[in-house]
Amino acid sequence: MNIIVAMKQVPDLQQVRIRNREPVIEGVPYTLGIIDKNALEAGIQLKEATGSNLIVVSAGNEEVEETIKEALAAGADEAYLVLDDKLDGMESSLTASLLAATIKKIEEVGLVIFGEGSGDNYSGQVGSRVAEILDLPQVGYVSKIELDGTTAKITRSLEDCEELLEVQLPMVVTVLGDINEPRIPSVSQILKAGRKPKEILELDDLDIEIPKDKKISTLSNLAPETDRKRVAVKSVSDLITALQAEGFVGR
Amino acid sequence: MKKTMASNFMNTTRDHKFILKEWLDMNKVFETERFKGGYSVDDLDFILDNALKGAKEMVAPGCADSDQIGLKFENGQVITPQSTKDGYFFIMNNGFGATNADPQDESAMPQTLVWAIYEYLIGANPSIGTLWLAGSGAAGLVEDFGSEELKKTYLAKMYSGQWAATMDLTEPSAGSDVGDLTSKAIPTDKPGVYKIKGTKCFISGGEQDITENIIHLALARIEGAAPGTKGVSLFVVPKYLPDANGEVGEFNDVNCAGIEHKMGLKGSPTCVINFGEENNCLGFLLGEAPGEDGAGRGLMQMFKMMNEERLMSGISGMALAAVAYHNSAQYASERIQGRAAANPKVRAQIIKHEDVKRMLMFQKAHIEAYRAMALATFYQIDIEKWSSDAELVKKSKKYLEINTPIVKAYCSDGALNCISEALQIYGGYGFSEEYPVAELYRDARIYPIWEGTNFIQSMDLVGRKMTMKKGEVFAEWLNEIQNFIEANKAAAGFEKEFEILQKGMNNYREMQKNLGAIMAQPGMVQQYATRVLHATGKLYGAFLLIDQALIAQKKIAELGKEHFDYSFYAGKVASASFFIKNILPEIGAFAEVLKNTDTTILEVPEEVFFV
Repeated sequence: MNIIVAMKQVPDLQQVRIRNREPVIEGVPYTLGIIDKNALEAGIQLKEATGSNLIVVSAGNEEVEETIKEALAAGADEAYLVLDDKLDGMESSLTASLLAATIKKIEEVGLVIFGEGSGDNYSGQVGSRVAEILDLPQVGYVSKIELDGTTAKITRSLEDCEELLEVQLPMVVTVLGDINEPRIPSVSQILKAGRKPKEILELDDLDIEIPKDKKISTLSNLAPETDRKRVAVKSVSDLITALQAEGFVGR
Repeated sequence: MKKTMASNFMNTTRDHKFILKEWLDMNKVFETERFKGGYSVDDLDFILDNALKGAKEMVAPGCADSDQIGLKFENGQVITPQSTKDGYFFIMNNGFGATNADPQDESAMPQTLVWAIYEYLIGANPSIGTLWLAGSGAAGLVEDFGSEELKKTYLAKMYSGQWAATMDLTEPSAGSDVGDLTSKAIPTDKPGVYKIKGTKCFISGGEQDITENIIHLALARIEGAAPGTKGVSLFVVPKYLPDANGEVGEFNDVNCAGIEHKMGLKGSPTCVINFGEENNCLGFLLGEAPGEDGAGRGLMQMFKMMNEERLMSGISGMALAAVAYHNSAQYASERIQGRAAANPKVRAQIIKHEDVKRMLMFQKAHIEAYRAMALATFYQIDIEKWSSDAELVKKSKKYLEINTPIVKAYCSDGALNCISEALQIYGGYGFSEEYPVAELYRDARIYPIWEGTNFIQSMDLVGRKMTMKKGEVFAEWLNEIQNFIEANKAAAGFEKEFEILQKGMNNYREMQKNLGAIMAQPGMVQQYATRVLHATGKLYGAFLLIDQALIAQKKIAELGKEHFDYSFYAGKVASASFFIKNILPEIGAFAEVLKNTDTTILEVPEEVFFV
């Protein structure tokens, strides 16, 4: 059985500077999304438990080929990558189409794992869209996965309860960030990562065209204002009144 | 006393990436036969980021345990906290340990990269550094000088860290004067096997409960060998003798008599080790036994390991200074106190106070100078060991000799000054153990002392290295700096810096001349040697920083001020400018001091110290 983990390349948020409330993203090195790393770790643990083959899939600009080494070093066996510089900043519907078309090229797919949301815009849509395109059952907010032959036992963590489901394979899951703690690869795994097989796909291979016009446009992307309110008070009772007005005390 | 926080590990990978990707030509190393087809420059970012993450998440959490729980010594056994064991095996199992010294290991990294990573791992928990850092040097000695049987028995487990290693030189009555050691090696019927008897002290990791065996590399004198350092030999002395299958066998009469109670590195067992209390301790000779002249090879062999340990000491000091710097910078950006001279109307973060900024700049510039000289030296090791360019190898070998005492002493002495400035930024909180810098200051205090005191390093530089081949080697080393000045003095934007650098060089040569004039007088060199080494470090640091700044300036021109990485490159330029304008001119003052031919130290009666 093949376990698939879908991962997105995102700008390394720790390197992003904010200038005039706008993030400076140009030139920032790429990394893989934080929750995507949890999805990968979940895949690695299942691979180790079942002896499955673990494949990462990703779509993005040419840099993805380098960025994906991180996943191969952590424990993925191979990678399927859709590379084209035109894919920078693509919207979720296109990402889902590309990933679904890529997954269709892989045989014996048992489980497809996504992070609950990407590390940059966190639309949280791609996993569900891929499940729809592939006509597979999908479960979200997943905090535990156990594979048992042709079925999976899935725990969903909801706001005030946990739900336990049994689902027929193949299926799609989107996992939460606290499902596990991603491992740190050893240096020998990093060396081996460069030698693991990578299937590089072009848009023509998938028979998908990039729409000329985007359906969703980002108008602004501002950091929240954090200026202090600079409320001056003359007495303790004024302070208490001000705090009550803000809802900090006496609620 | 309950402490809430002893260490707060902070570092970044940015300067290391700059050094390895933009400054040193790592392709020259990666393209050697040893590393060809393995790692490439493209792997460096990931390796460094990954190592820093490991240091932060897997090693640093044990630092508070090392400092606050420390060690227990019960019935001859040292008991370490569980987090020490976790940290040790994380480092070993993730390929950061002695496997990098294994010439057969295809995943081994070049030493330049290894030691860039060690800055993180040592900074994350300096106490456990002593437990794993000796492994590669010790295994290297077995690799280079051991018999085939010794290699077969010990090397795989030493490289993997399954068996830890120590170096055993010091004895209660023989420290810096190691030739006075009294440990004996008595021949047995079996060639190369001796009975060892003696006591060693200050043995880092001499006893611990982490690994199943401990391999001591111990100096002892074979009966009948020459006195002094000449007659010393080196032995592999395991705590447990390997059995026929190479696994842990019989106890080898290696006993720990006690551990030191220290001001820092409290999680590092510093042991008194008794070999052969029951006359039943076997040691295995490395290399040849002394011939008719009674000369052993021990000290020469041990110095191969010792040189690496000396560089380790310099990097360790810098590693802790870097942690203190990053913590103090963050604290200065958050702590609001007083009003800045530039805007006296509002209370300000203390980073806006000029003197706090000065202290941050002092740390930043020095740490970058230390890092540059340390990693440039490990780069020479990689070139010397693996390059096929004979000329380059020859040059690297010579520079390595000169750089080693400078890196050890200049970096470890200066690191304390940097940590002291970090502590000062915290004000009263810096003196409190609840904040991270106090522990760093305590931990870093050992580095100027061990692996040959910094005075020994200074005498090594002045007495041996500066006079190698009648001074030709050192003259060549200095000329490289002079040639660099000549080639770059017109660099736009750095005219002033190069003018001062040239003046610093002139002052250095003046210092050499003044030193030469008084060298014949007994005791004069000794009283000035430490200051000569510091002057050399300042000149070398200034040279390396401005070399880096030239690259940074080009990058700024290429990327512009709006680029996300502008602050890093602007910082590199600032470090060079600050160091050259504020630190380098101190050489001139020392050159003046030498002119005074002061003999106070030589003449003052010892009694004045007891009044």
